[in-house]
Amino acid sequence: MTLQPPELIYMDGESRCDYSWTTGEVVGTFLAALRDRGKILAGVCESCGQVAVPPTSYCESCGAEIAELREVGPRGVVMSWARVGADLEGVPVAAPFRYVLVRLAGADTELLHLAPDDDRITIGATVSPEFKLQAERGGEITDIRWFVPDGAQGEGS
Amino acid sequence: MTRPVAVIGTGQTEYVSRRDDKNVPEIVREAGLRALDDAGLKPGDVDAVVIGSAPEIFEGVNYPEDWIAPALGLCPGPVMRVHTGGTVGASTGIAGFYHVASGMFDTVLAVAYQKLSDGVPQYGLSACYDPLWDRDFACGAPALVGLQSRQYLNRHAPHVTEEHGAMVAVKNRRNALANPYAQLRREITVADVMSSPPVAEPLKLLDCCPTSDGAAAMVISEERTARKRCPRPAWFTGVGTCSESPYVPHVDMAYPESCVRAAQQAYQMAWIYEPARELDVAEVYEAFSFQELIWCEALGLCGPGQGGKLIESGRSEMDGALPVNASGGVLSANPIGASAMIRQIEAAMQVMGKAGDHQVDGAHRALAHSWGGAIQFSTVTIFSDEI
Amino acid sequence: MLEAVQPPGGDIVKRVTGTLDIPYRFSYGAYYDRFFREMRDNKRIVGLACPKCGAVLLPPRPYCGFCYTPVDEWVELSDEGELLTWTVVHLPFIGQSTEPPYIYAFIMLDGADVQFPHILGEVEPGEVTPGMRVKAVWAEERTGTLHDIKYFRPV
Repeated sequence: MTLQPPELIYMDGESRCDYSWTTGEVVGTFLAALRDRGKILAGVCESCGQVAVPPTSYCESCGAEIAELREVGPRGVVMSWARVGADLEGVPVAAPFRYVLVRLAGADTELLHLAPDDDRITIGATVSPEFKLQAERGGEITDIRWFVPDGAQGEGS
Repeated sequence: MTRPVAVIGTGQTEYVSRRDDKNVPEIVREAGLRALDDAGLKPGDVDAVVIGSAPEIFEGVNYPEDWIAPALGLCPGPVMRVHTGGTVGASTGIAGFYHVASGMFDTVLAVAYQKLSDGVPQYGLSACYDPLWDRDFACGAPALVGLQSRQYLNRHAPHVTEEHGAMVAVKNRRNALANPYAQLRREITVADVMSSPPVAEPLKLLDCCPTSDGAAAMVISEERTARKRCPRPAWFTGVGTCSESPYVPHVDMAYPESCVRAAQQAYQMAWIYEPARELDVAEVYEAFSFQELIWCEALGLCGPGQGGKLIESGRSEMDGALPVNASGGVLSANPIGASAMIRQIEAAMQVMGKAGDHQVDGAHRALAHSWGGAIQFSTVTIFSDEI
Repeated sequence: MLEAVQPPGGDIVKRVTGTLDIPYRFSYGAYYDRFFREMRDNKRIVGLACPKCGAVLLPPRPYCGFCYTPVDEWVELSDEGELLTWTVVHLPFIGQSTEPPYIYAFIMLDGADVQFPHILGEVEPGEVTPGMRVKAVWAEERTGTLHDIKYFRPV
C-alpha cells in the first residue's frame, strides 16, 4: 500500500523567548564603561598577563583570575574582515557592511565588531571606534556603532 | 570490566532562585574550582572536561560549551557536551566515568549547571514535546508527573495515598536544613502540603520542586591518582543507563521499564543482589513528591505498591535503615541540568565521609538515581568506599 | 579586586535583555499527514498495526517502537476507549491552548496499544474514575490537528 502524497505538509509555529542575561561584575563594568565614559576596558590576567577584550573574570588562556581591568585602544589594527552584502537579522546596521576583528592598542586578543563597507578596511589598517551619543547608549556592545578607518572619522553614513 | 575509577573531589554552588552576581560561565567555574580544590588540583590539571546542561533554550545561548569551557582552565583541551533530558547531570558524570574507564584519560572534570533565571523556564519546558502530538495539552513536567502520580495512586489505592506524597515532601524539606547548598530550607508539615494550591492534581504546590540557578562539579580519576589525592575516594562500582520511548505499547509511568533496567545494569555491575539490604543511602531524583515512592519501588528499594509503607515506616528517614535524599533532594533545589549530578555528588560525598551535617553514619555503598524527558531516561550510579 | 576602573556615578550593567523570536514550520511527514487527514475529513482515528509483534501503534510513524519492524498497515481505531490516567491542570503554561483548569488525560482507545493524549469535557474532576469509558466529541470545523476532537466525554 503506498501513501498518498502529503497534503497537510506543515504546521507553522513560533517560539518567542525573552531573556535577561546576567553579566557578572566584570562584564557589567565593561558595559557600564562603554555607556558612561565611552571607554573600552580589557581584563589583565594575574598569572600570564594576557590582556583580553572583551574582558571575562577568568583568563581564557590559562584559567587564572583576572587581576584588574585596564583601558585599551581606542584605536586598533584590523586583523581580519568580511564583507556582508545582504541584510542580516539581528545586526543593527544595513548591508553592505563589514565584520572586523580589531586588535586594540594594548590588547592581546581581538574584538569582533562592525565597520562600514569601506575599502580602507584592510588587514593592517588602523581603525577607531565611533561611539553613539551618550544619550543613545544603553550599556551594550553596540554603544560603539562601529569601527571606522583612519581618515573616515566624522564622515557618518 | 573496566579499570577502577573514582570521584576524588566535588564542588557545588549554593542553590538559589536567582544568581544576580555571576553569569553562566562564572557559576560553572565556581563549582569547578571548588571540585578541583577539594581534589587538591588546579585548573589545567585535568585531561578533559565534560559539560552538561538542559536544552539551550533555557539560557538562550547556543553551544554554551564554547562559552563555558575556557572558564574551567583547560583551553585548549578535549571538551564534550552531554545532554539527556533531566538525567543530563548524571549522564555527564557517567560520561566522565567513561572517559577515565576507557583508559583514554586519567583525570576528568565533569560539570553540570543551569541558570533558569536568565530565561523563562516554561519556554524550555513547553518546547519539549512533539509539536504535532501533545504539545498543546501538556503543561511541562507538572502535568506529565500529574498523570504519572495519578496512575500510581490509582493502581495502589488504598495502600498509597496523597498523604504519603506529602510525607515525602516533609521529610526532604526537613533534611535540607542540614544541607548548606539547598535552596529551600524551611520545614513544612503534612497539613501545609495538603492545603497548598493545586498545580496538576494530585500535585499541589508543596509536592513540587523549585526552579534554581546553580552548578555542580566532580573530579573523576583513575586509581593511582585517586589513592594519592583522596583519603576515601568514591569508587564507581555500578553504572546503568536506559532510555525507552514514551509511545510504545505497555509503557508504564508508575513503574518505568527504563528505571528497572538501569537499576539491574548497575546492580549487576556492583554485585548487588538485595539493594534494599546492601545499600546504605540513596539519592533519587524526586522532582515531585510521589516520584520518590515510585522510584524506590522501581529501584527495588521496597516492593511494588509498598511506597506508602516505606515512608510510614521511617526506614527512609535520616535515622532509618536506608535514608533516602539526605540532601533534601530535588524538592529542595532544582537547577535542572545539575540536579542529576547533585544526586551523584551527594551519594559520593556520603561514602567519602564528606556530607557534613547530613552525613549518614557507616555509609559504604550509596545509590544515585535520575529520570528525565517524558519519563523515559533513567540512570543509576552506585558508589562504594572500596573496590 | 576590581576597584581600579569602576565607572564613576552609574551602576554596572547587571543584566542584558533580549528576545529570541524563532518561527518554525514543522513537517508532518507522510504518516502524520495520513493520520490527520483521516481526522479532518472522515472523523476517524487510525493507527498502524505491526506485522511482527501485533501491536497497534500511535502516534503514526514508519517503524514499530517496540520491535523496530517497518509498519504500513493502517487500521481504524474506535474513537471511544478507557481512561488510563488523568490530571487536573491548574497551572497556566506557555503554549497551552486550553485555559486552566482542565483535565489532561491519557486514553487507551479501543483497538490501540498505545495511549492517546487529550482532554476531558462534560465532566467534573471529582466525577472522573479510573478506567472510565470516554468517547470523542468531534469539532465542527476541523483543520488536521488534535483539536479536530474538542474533548473526550464520559460514555
